[in-house]
Amino acid sequence: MRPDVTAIPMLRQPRGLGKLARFGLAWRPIDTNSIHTLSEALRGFDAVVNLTQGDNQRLLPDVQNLYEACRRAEVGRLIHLGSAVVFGEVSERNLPDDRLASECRWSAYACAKATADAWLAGRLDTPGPATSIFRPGLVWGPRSIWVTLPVGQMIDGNAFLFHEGSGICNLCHVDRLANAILSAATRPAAVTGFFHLGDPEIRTWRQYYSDLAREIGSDISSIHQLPDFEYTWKHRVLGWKDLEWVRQIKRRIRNQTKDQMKRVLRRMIERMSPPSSGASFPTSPRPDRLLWSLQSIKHSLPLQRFQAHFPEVTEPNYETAMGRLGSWLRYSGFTVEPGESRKR
Amino acid sequence: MLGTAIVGCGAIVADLHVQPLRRLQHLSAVDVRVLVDRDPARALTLRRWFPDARVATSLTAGLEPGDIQLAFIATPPSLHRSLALDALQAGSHVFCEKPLATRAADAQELARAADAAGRVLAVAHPRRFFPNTAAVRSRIMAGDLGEPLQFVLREGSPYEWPIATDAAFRRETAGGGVLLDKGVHCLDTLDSLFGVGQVLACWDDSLRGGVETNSKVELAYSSARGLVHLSWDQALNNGLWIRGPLGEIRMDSHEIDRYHWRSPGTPWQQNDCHESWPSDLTSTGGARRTPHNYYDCGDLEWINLVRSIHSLESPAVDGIVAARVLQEIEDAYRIAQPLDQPWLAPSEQAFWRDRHWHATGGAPQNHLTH
Repeated sequence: MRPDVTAIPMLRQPRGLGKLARFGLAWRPIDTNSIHTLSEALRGFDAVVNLTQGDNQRLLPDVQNLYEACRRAEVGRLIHLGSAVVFGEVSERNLPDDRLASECRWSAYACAKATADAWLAGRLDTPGPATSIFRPGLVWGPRSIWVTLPVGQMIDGNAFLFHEGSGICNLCHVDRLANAILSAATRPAAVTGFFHLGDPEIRTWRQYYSDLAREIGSDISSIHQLPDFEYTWKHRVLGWKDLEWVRQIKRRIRNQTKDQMKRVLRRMIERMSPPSSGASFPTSPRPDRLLWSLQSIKHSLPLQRFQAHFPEVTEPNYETAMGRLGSWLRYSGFTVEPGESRKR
Repeated sequence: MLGTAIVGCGAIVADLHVQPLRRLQHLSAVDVRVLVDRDPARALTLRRWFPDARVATSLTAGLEPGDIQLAFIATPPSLHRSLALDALQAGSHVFCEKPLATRAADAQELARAADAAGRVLAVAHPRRFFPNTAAVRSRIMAGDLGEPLQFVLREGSPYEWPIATDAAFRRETAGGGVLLDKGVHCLDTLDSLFGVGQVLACWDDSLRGGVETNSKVELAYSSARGLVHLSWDQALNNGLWIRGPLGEIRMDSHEIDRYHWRSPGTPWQQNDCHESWPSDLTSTGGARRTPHNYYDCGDLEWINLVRSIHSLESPAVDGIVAARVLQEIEDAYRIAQPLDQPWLAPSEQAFWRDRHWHATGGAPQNHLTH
């Protein structure tokens, strides 16, 4: 939308265009395994934004190759996305922006993210592209999993909050993230380093869930209150799916077999805990360790460093953004009809 | 045994069609003899399952007189018409991936060509074998919901299909975006439930040079009226809701053998569905099977195709039915307006309106090239 900016998607797989198809944008295929072809693809650009995701084992080499390709192609700026909350930990009030997670938050992916971020940290003072590393809170807004997950649970009647929702919900609206990226890419002087990024308005999980519930026509009383998280054998079993060797096996199983296994598992679980009164929707909350961890955060993300370096990034206001989110939720069919709460 | 050519050897063939074809080959019902793809390397990947098949780079090179009785076409949609015509003119039956064509007129032409040649023309629509759709159709026909009916059908998720090229995102090769890709399934389902639809309105988010990622279509049937809402870039509250004065039905997209029912003022009840279809090639009284997932439906669809070729039944979706759905989609595209996106800032909303693919004037768009 900015006439002075041309953005070109660079994709490893054509399917990535599915989300962008409406724009009819020019695009370039890239191979992040090859520094040579990558640097040829990046030549002539002022800035590169790294939004790659994927295989845990590829995260670090992809970042290394991208950095080196930018250096060879003389790209001035590299903007990299880390995470302060999902794959990090807000463990103290004045958490430094470059403090990486000390543990891997039970996920091989988080470990790989932290390793890649740490590698970039070691390049901040060396010749190469000026590197801005944004570490956002939970990115929310239209299409966000941090919206569709709780709202879906609210509609199904199995949304839950730990500690009465008193934990701090460190949010970062997607437009704020986009504005930050655009600013880092286009401002006259490049800025390097790690930056926490989030909404300045401090919200508890209870407040955030109340706002979401209001927008879909529900209310906070429909949300289950859980005292604390019990780590059971079920979670241990579910945790296997994040192990690298399990992921490798999964990749080799045919979709048809996966589909059949899922159906059998679903029916087994239903037999073990049948619906209480013949109603068909799940009504029991299914807490997990990540949400428990996120809802247990006691501190807000320090944003002073970002605000000092990027004073021009101020939008959007939380209330305005929540109002607009409500219209997106209604557009997407995420609403509860009057008297429809399925919680029992 | 039907000598078979697979034309277009991309991801969908390996994922959905290889296993049914192998089972039919095991039953000596088909014999996959030719694998056709412009990229021989892609065709060679299917040799893993069909080691005796030869590889060709064009259908005409693959067709030998009397050798091929069935052409299965799974190329990008813009090639369906010419390939299907070639195959029909060579005397083959044709099974075509959806959509049958990118224009309704082309689909009608194919239906006429099949009729003139006395050959079967069938289109891949595995959802015709969803037990819940069949069960719900019976309840509607029995008047359990009363009339008039209202419906909402939502189907949205980020695009994940492992395609090899960007052909699916170019109007000139795909014919359209999510409305043609997912919509052809959804409108076929609705037509199977309610009859022939009339498009009342359509909204989408395609800019000039692109194809729509999000689409909403308002439709009217003789006894029902409602909305189809599709997305390639986001999750929606997916499923099909149908409401009448006497009851309400909800079908979740991931459970094809169940639906939920409630009468006004009562809780939702779960209904398991056991509708079944012929699962062998016996002419009468043979085995039947209730499918439980998409792949089971694909199996039954192939069996339906072979049974149709042997005049034991009719194809679940033939050229005429496919052309009718394509006509609805074409009608929707013709009247498409910019999708209202009130969650965007006013300046962004204006950007979308001004550059909508039906808007005139304004700045030109980039074309999808690399």
